[in-house]
Amino acid sequence: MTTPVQAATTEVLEPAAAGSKTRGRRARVHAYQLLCVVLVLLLWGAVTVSGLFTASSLPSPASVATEWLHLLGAPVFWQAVWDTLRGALVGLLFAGAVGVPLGLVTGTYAAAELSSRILVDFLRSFPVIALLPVFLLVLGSTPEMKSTVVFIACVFPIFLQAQYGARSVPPMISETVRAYRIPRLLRYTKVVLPSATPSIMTGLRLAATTSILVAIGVEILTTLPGIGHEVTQHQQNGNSAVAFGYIFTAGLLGYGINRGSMLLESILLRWRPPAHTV
Amino acid sequence: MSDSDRLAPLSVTGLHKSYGHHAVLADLNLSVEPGSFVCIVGPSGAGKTTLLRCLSGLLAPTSGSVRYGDRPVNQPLAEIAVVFQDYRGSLLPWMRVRDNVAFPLEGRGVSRSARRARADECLAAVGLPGVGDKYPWQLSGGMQQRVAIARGLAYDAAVLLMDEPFGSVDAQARFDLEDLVLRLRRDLGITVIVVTHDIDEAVYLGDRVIVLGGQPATVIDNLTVDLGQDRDQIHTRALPRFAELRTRVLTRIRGGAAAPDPAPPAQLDVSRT
Ligand SMILES: Nc1ncnc2c1ncn2[C@@H]1O[C@H](COP(=O)(O)OP(=O)(O)O)[C@@H](O)[C@H]1O
Ligand SMILES: [Mg+2]
Repeated sequence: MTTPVQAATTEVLEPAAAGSKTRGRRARVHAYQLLCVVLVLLLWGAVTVSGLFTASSLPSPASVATEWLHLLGAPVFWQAVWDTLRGALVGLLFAGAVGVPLGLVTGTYAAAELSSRILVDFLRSFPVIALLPVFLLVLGSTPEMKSTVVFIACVFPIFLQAQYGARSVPPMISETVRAYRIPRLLRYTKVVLPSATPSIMTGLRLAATTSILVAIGVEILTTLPGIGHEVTQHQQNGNSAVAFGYIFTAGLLGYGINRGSMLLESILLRWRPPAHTV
Repeated sequence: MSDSDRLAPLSVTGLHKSYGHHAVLADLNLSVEPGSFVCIVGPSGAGKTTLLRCLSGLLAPTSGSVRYGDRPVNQPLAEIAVVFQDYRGSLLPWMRVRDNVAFPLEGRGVSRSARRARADECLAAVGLPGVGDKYPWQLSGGMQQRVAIARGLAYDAAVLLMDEPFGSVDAQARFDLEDLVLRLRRDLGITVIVVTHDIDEAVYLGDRVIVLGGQPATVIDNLTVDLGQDRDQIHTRALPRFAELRTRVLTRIRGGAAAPDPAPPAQLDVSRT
């Protein structure tokens, strides 16, 4: 589990005194990152040219790129992306709606946390995919089943991070809240939740990546439509370049969700002194 | 609630407080009249914060009682506002200054616009008009402590309890804050109780100075400061009477610590004159 960054107040710092020096450094970093991507593509190209693998098992980067651009014009493609995304997001949303409040409340009561610990520790280390046959049996092969599996995979990281965040309300703040007789609900919404936000966001980021992964996994293992389904279909029909186009899309989705949650985090944590903005 | 309910003496009877086997306060008695300014002075580690937390209802005494008028203080009361020693830790960093000041009112169901107006009024009263939209970290230490005081004022309590409120700000800001609190007391007629290890500060601020000493600590002296209501950083501190009072407090603290305990005397800040 990633340790959440603790919100701390620091002495007044010169905001945004960074200037052109960091900008130069950032440009250089971007150049290096691009270089890495190019290197991997070159290596991939070299391997396909060498004839180590057949074109049907490992297509060349160029053919994948062509197929991918083709896909962008195909409604089937967008339908598959939407199916996967919807399955992942619905599961993720429910996981957040259940995991955050439950984590916050149990986090503020030591007894609740202790008594739930063993159960939670067991459940969260349970491989969800192993439960798939059970879900298939109970819920059938439906989009709801996909979301349920995603929910189960995502709820624990969110729950645990929320719990961790709720526990880390600084003692001075708890004391202040008590001294000024802040009612319980207000305490959760205006004190515990903001104080736990950095930690919750870490959990959400973790869960967001998991949600895509699990949604695609379920599609591969069942007949449910979505990116995973397209990958297996095209692989079996020998269109491995198309399959790779879908795999690449899955990667993009994961990456996009991650960037999106980072953006959300920086918006939610605007109140932090600039020393915290990485 | 009538005014006579709001303005009541805060009294402590036979207070004992131990943390496990460690007795910190023993048989402590004191009474604070409404509208008075009382300083409780004692060396670091004497149990001042412990006493203040008992006075505010945040900490239950091991035995004995704290009463506000005829009501027991066994939980925080709406009539008592607290300003903590560590202003850095007691302001909510995710709230703007105005929201911090108004936060206790939100708990009372005061409307948004009324909260806002009251917060701005209290910020102006502590000499910080126009910082409402900033975050606490954007202010200096002295300013943050003013915000904490403004929050206490906004709470509209009859008693302001302060734990070494000026301990971690620079000397000039400290003088300004002392005078601010004196002025607020005069203008608003509130009761102020300041806990401090600084003898000069206690004599400068208080109508009365209560000296804590011994281990476990108890009240070893209780003196009236007859320096009048109008105090002035330069002249009051230069008065012969000021020096007499300060010498008396210092003597009491030294005597109280040295007699039963052969260990080196507890550390005291007496460097400022
Ligand atoms: N929560 C606590 N648990 C155990 N011991 C404590 C606690 N708070 C304070 N003490 C002890 O009580 C004594 C008095 O502390 P405190 O009231 O903070 O003194 P002061 O504010 O005068 O410096 C100290 O010896 C301190 O170590
Ligand atoms: Mg203290």
